[in-house]
Amino acid sequence: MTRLAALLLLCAGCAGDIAPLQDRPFRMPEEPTPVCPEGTVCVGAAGLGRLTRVHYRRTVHQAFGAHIRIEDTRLPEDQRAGPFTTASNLPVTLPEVEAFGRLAETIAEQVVASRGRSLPCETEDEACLLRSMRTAGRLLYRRTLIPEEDDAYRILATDVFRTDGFNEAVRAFVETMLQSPSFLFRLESADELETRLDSVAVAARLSYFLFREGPDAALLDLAESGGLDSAADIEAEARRMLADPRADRTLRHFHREWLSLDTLEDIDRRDLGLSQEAAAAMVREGEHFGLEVVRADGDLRELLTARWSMLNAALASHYGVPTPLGPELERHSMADASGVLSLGGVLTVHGNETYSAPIFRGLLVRQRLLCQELGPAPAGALEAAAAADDALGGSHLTERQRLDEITMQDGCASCHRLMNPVGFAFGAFDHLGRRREHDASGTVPDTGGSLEDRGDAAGHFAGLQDLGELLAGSEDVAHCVTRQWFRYALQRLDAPEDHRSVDAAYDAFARSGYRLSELIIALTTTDAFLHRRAPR
Amino acid sequence: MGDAMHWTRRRFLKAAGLGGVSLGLGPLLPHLGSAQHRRRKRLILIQTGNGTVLERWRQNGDGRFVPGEHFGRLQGAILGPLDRHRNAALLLDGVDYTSLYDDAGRRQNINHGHAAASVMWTGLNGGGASGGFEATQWPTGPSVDQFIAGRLGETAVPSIQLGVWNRPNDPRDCYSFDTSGVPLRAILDPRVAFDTLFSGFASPDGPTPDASSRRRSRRRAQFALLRDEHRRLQRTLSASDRQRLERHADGLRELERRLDAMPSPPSSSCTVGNPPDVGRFDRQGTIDAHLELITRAFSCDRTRVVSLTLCPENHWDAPTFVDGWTGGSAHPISHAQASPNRGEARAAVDAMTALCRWQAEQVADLADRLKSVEEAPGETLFDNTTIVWSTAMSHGGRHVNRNAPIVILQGSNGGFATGRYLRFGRYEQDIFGQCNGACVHDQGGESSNRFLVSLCHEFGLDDVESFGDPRFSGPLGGLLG
Repeated sequence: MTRLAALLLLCAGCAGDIAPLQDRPFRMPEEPTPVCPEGTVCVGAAGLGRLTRVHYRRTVHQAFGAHIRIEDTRLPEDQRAGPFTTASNLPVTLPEVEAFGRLAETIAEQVVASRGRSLPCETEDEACLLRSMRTAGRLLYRRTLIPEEDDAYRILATDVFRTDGFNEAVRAFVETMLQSPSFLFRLESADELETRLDSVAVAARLSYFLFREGPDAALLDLAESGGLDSAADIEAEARRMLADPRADRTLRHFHREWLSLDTLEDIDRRDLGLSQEAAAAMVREGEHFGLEVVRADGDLRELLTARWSMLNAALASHYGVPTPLGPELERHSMADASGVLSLGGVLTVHGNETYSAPIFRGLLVRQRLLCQELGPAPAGALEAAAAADDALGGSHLTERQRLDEITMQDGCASCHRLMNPVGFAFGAFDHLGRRREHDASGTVPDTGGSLEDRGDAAGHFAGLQDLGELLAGSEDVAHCVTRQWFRYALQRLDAPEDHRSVDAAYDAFARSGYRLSELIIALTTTDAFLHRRAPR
Repeated sequence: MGDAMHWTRRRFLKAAGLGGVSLGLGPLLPHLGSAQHRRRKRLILIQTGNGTVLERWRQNGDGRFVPGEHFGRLQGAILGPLDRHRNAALLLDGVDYTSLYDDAGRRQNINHGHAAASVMWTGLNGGGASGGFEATQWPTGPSVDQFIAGRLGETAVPSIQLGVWNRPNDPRDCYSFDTSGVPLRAILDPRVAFDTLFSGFASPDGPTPDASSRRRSRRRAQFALLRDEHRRLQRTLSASDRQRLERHADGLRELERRLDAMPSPPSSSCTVGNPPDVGRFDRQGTIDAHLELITRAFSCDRTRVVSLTLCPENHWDAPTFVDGWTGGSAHPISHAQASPNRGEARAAVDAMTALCRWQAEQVADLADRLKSVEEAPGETLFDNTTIVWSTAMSHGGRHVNRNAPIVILQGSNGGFATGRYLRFGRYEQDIFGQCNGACVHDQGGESSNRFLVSLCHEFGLDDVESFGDPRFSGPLGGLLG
């Protein structure tokens, strides 16, 4: 059965203009491009964030130990800024406050039940109580408690201690801290002008960005003793942190979200021949490919053109690679690979089992590698496509001919000429990321074409590896990858005011020969990373 | 920033169910005066995505429903499962989501088709979706369930939103909005729904809560500490940060208020039972658990307002409940109905019919459950309940936001004249969603905004003159018989 529904995508908003369109941020009104006077700091406005699910869980684990169980579905949902997780763009709702309240109780219950492991001391006296309170408070609030807070918690805990004993006193302060705004929100003092973050807030940004957890005691010590005051200090610390194995989390997670690999877990494709094991392995393949490239001090070219990937036995069998591999992912040469472009997960998520798959693959290149947004499909696009498909009936056409016949009509071609030719480059791979000799019509896929663009990515290619080379040589692509990392690091979309920060990171990236680790480090000393401007 | 940041404390209080303050929330919110409350009136909104097969929805036995008349039996391919509740049923045919259209009948923006989910219960043309599957706009006011919950405001849990499959961040999957238009995401996990409804609740068969006065005074001390912290922070933050934090502080105040709230006198029918245990991908199990939780929550008067999504618009998961269909899930089914390949379209129409019939079965099942619990002599939970089931489109494949097929099931204490089929306008559509020649394709006869006003009136909120889009004021005629 033809699944034409897949065609209902982007078909408007492109007429006569292929200039990169600004991604549309969440409910952001049209703003004129700001003029930031020379010599001033200029950064995009950032709403007050709250902890994402992962940040919440890890911060609690840092305070009380990883044995504390926190189920994802009990935490309020995260939101997205582009493909990236955020928690700053929607107001707090009552159900969320309720959910945090219930979680506080169940976590406190676990802390009390496992106090030997959860608390820094075992004496169950007042001294141990206060020590536990201060240790947890510092990690949960990501700063040392100020005197008023210390007093308030001390009074609460000792009052309960005297009437109801040690366990109840622990329960009282844990429940309270976990419902506190200082824990739940990423409080960074800021007004409607750009405000330089204090060192403790910088520590939290560094830690949530590079480790996906809150600042640990050592990092807080450093910040509170003035060790993160200068840009040089921050850069040095960012280098230390990126070298730490905890940064693997970020290097994996960025690629998971940038390439939308997480959606592989949402959609059941077993009826198409993709086992859940293979789907899960594909997600890990993408995550670990990105990790491996950065860890080997790889550059943008490696990311887009590597002739290898990370395979295990399940994936090798799925892809039909005749290699004896174990259950662990290993680096494996593949002569026809082209970095992230040929990752099984990428091909599966951005595609489908019909001849319309190239639309999604072309879109991937436009959105994630060129930072271009095409408008939504106009009303009636699907019906027009369906009518065109029906008119073609059973004509013997290749997939490419059929898709072009259907989408190169008036009103559709303006966008599809930007997507289809690029998407055809992926034609040697099927909807589940496997190599294929023939398309559904029995024809050898024609993977050549040209990328139409006003920028330096424009050019002709003979196939996917060629396209990878074209993209890898483009400054526009490097700039877009800079923006994607910026969005990930800041947990928000980049605004026009951020252009200096983006450009500064890009310049450092370029100077390093496009080494990805240098891009990541450079982001941590940009104005946007070190400042916050509250929305008006 | 735009409107998104303009959340005031007062708006949130309304959303939190703290009634009793006059609103003055601007022109898009209902105009209010004094309110009347009736005891234990309950509302369940049920939404299903991707439209229906209108011609089959209208079918009854060998013919079609006759407007205005009692329909006797319900024997259609879609509504047949509701036959056992026929005397409680009121069918509305010809209600349009008029807030989507300008005065010339043109859609005002890209917010149409599946994205109209956010319009269904708000009557506001605020939703939209970008090509990148990101929400760009939401309504700026409440959905009718939240508005009614805010005005009733008597139960421990003002309202609950339940669903299966709903995804976050997508206006196609969000149906309830608080007073500020903030989307309230559906709870998908029945265990979380259980906790939301019953945590801290004392019942004969439930867990024993620690209701000692010492514990309560400790909780008060905890809230006082948090209040002080909020106060300190307010002094140092920017206006927009303060607004966001204030909503958190309001939420804490609401939790604190509940410490002192007098629980409803426990009814003899109150059953809490055990938390449900359902696998993540067990969709039918999840729905069954939700239906059971609604019944238990009503039996213990934990909430009186529920929104339930049986199948959201953005549904791409495999539908295990349509036997023999291999063409994908609800969203692809809806589009395949418009395929020019008649064989394919017919198969999709049959699959959509089966899907809608399955939805009708779930609605009937919910009514059965509510009828099985007696809350007063001779009176079941159902007698005090109004269930409204609708969809954002009549034809999903063609994105028709006209002529929403609305099914109301209402118990004997309700005010609607049930057992009838009401037809507004002359809208016609064949099973493929097309209008062939002689029929009126463009419009039904009435505005969904007026239906929302009627719903408010049914809940005693007689002072509501318009709901959502102010262009369409007044109630929908004919509902009261």
